Amino acid sequence: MSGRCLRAALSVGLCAAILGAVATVARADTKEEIVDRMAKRLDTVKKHKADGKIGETFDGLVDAVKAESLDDKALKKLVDDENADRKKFYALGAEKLGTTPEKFALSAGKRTFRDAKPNEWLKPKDGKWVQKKDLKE
Amino acid sequence: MKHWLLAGLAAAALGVPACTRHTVKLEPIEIKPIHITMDINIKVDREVDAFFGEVEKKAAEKSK
Repeated sequence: MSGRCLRAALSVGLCAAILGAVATVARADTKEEIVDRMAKRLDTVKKHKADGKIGETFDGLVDAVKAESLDDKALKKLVDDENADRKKFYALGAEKLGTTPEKFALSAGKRTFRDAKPNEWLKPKDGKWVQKKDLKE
Repeated sequence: MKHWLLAGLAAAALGVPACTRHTVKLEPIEIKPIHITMDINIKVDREVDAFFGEVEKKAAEKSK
């Protein structure tokens, strides 16, 4: 194969590879993929909740009860990944039902508050962390 | 003469409304569907419950 043909073939191949990578990144996650990731993470999330390191917020996310806990990179990644997946689900659900992600987030917040164990930490709208057993309804 | 005139006028005054017809239309009161707002909230709650339920179920399957 001549040099010119080889260069052309390489260029086409490189372009195809780049386009493929972009397409992979751009594709939205399916609900099943989100469920799968959150399921893999669930035991770790529950453990950190039981340890009092993270808690549920009124708007359906998780957060560190003490800000310095996020110095732990593994914990920070867990919180970030969990929240990213939850937000993706809220967006997907909102699109499906023709409503807003905020409605989904608040509904999720109500659910997690309802199902929280007595010693788990919750952050209501006022921003002050409180354990479920001390939460005023 | 005056009496007959007055009587005639009174008769005419009473007779005119008798020749007209009054109808009052009563439109049924339409209550706008408040249930649509409640319905979407219920759907959102169900979708959220179903989703987190799926996550729990899948996590339980993985831990077996």
